[in-house]
Amino acid sequence: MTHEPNPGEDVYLAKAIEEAIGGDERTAELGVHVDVRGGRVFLHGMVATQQRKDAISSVAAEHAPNHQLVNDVSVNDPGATATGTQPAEETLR
Amino acid sequence: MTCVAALGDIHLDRDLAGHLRPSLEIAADKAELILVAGDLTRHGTVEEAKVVAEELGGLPVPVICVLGNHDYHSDQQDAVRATLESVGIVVLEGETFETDFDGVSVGVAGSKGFGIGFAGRCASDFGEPEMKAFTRHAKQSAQIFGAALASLKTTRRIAMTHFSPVEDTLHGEPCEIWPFLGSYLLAEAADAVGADLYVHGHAHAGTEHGMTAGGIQVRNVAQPVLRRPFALYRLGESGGGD
Repeated sequence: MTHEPNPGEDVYLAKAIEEAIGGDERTAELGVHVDVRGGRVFLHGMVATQQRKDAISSVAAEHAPNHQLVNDVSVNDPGATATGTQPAEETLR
Repeated sequence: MTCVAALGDIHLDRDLAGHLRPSLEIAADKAELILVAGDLTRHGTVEEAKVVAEELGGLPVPVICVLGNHDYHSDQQDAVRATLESVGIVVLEGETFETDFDGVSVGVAGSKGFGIGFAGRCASDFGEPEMKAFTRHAKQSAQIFGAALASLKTTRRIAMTHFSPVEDTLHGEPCEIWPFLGSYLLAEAADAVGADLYVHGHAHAGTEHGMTAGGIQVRNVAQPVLRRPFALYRLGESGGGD
């Protein structure tokens, strides 16, 4: 694939992908940041499961079929507690 | 001292069923109240609310929630609320919850809140009907939240909204979107009457700690911010000293 640089187009594509990830019922993620540079689509943010991360890749790929995807979204299971650790406690005054 | 567990933006769906419950049982063991600051679901459907009810229902301490913008997305917010209430979860929208722990009365005032931005950099009630509707909804949201907080006569007062009352806890989010993440009107309403703690969610890339202009401690408890299942806040004696 040969990518012809077009920075303006990349900005609008990034926003379109971001909108799709927020609006598509497979994802509904508003906190994913999308950047398009040099023919690649970069995805950043945090989701709760690997499946949700994969769904983001699917939606992004549909909107940028000719771009390489770099999905750097991290996965943070909301229930994950390291064994043996105590939750931090803060005293407010 | 009153100890509360707080979390927000859990965005539950069937794929996360069972994930949160073990942590919430720990929270219930350590805290006298569990606060959930909105965005309980992904799309605001009743099916997702049933997962929330399974995760948060039936715990041995009160679970107090506000809804978030995601919980309104499918226009099923009333049914979502009813689903949560059916298992004993308390949902606040311009309302209060009061209880008593070891002779200390504790009240929570909660509401979803809304965006508008922050003093000097916010939307105005001027111009097109759409802009006026946006601004007036923010004002109305702050008004009902403030009225609820003011009605609390408890020794301890906790404020909870989904949207942020301050900029402090939005650092990490692009500042261009802050008007959609919070409203200074919420802080103004809280500062008018005071509170021991103000928790909110919504800003996933924000930071945990902040404070209103009037000195109320604000905590952003969105789970991507906490990076732990919940936060524990102990409300110290007034005026400190120990």
